[in-house]
Amino acid sequence: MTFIGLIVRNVGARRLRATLTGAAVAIAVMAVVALGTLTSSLKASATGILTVGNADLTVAQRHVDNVLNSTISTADIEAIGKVPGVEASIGALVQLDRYDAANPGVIQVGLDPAAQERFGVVLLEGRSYRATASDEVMLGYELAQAIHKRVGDELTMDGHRYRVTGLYRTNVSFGNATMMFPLPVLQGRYTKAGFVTLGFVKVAPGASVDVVRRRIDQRFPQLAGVASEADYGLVDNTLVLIGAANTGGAILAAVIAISGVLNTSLLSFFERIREFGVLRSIGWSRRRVMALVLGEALVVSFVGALVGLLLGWAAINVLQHLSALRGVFHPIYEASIFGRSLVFAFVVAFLGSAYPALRAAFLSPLEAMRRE
Amino acid sequence: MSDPAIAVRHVVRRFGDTAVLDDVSFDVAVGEFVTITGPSGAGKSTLLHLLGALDRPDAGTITVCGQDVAHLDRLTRYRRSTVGLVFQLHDLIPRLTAEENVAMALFGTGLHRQDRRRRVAELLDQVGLAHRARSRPPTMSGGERQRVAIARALANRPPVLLADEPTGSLDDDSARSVLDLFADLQATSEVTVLAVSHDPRLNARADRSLVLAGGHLEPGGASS
Repeated sequence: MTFIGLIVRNVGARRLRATLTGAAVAIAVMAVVALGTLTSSLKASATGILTVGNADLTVAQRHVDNVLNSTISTADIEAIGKVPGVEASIGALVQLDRYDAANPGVIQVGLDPAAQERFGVVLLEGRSYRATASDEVMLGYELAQAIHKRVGDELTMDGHRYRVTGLYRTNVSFGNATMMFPLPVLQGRYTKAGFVTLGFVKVAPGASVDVVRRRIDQRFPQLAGVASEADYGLVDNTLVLIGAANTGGAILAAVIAISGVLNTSLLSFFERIREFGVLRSIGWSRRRVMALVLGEALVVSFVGALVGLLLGWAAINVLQHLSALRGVFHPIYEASIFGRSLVFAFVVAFLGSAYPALRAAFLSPLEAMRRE
Repeated sequence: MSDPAIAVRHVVRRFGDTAVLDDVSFDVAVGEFVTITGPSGAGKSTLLHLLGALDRPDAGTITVCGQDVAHLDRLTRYRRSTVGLVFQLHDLIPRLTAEENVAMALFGTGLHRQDRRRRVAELLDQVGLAHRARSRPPTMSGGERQRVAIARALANRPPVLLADEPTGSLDDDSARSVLDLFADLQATSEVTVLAVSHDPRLNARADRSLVLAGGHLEPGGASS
């Protein structure tokens, strides 16, 4: 029998307890995987709005809670287009609204048809809407599938009827689940005539994105240029809150899992005090006793983590189909989240079993063997 | 004359104000089989714990195979290689088989897995339990369990075997099997055996018996 075999045997000898502890770790890992994926995916969706259209930088109103609440006048968009180093700037109105019970959060984009190509829109089927047509709409192909609409079909949005003129895809996945209207039509519906949500700026060849961004920031202090995900906090606090919720959830999951492992390891320690005393008296070193206790916790946590990864994957699939998240949650499975979850399980195992392991290792063999 | 396997000199061990061992001195020669008898509370087990480096004396010296046990730094190595301990309740791990219980003493010794397996088989054969290698302690008789415990104690070929009431909880047949094993050990090896025992059957097989009473070795208490 190997030392690892002994560890596995010891875990197997207390199957029910090991199963319950493994379940606690599995649930914690599931929470970490699901929350982590949800967070990073929502973050990608949110920042995706800013990266759409291959713009070099995106402009939004500074310090709004949610980037969708950003308001920029179309006059400012035109003025940005004249900033030295700017090749072109286009404005888009972005609004979130309910389509039906199954799709309670659909992103609507108001955009001039002439700006669609620069915005990264690729027509897949049909044609674009006309610039001022009040009854035409285009659908991202994923949304079209979800709401079972084709070119030529009619749909009702916010009490208004529209005919689907075309299907499109964009360079970011969230864009494929949006619907697109002529800019004045969407502005009219939301009484935002003369205003857009975001400005997309293409920098002239040879010009520095940073320099252009600084110029825009200086000339328009109420706006912020966003060139990377790191700048996103300037125009939206939501991600900070989502990140904090994720961290809080992970800490809570860790506390639950560590408590489970600690409880099991302590119970096991108290039950086996005499055994540890015998092992020390027959020549086991403190290090080996510690390795035994830590190893048992690691085995339970590792198995729990594997189960947790599967549960996490299942939870993501369930979340994906929740109507409340449809359209905004496009799961991105990052290896780093799964890797972090395994590290999380090992940290849980270590923290949960370190105290019992130390107690077992520093037990006086004589005191231990006096226990019945 | 060669050095004794065990040399105990003026050993004192107190618990609070009570001196459980008070100026105890004796020698045990290499290969000798000595029992320590005496009434309950006389300090027999305490003496055995001191010899096994499970406890330290308040005064005096204990030398086992040339090692000053009272001032040892590397207790693990001493417990693993110099002495083998056998307890009254055998203290085997019930979920492990006989061979796995014996193998427990070989973890951390640097022996390769195959060599460990070979050594365990050899030990179980030596204690007459080769056929019970895959049995778990709860399915074995008291004598068999104690013989497994002795095999475990001998696993690292210690020159000294310390036994605490090794036949104390055994019926006649089981006790006889353990006594025969001690006799075999003596006949076939140089192992020095020091056993604490109330059992007259064990004392009768010993080379010598020391009588401990009130923390002192009784003068003239040794018998051959």
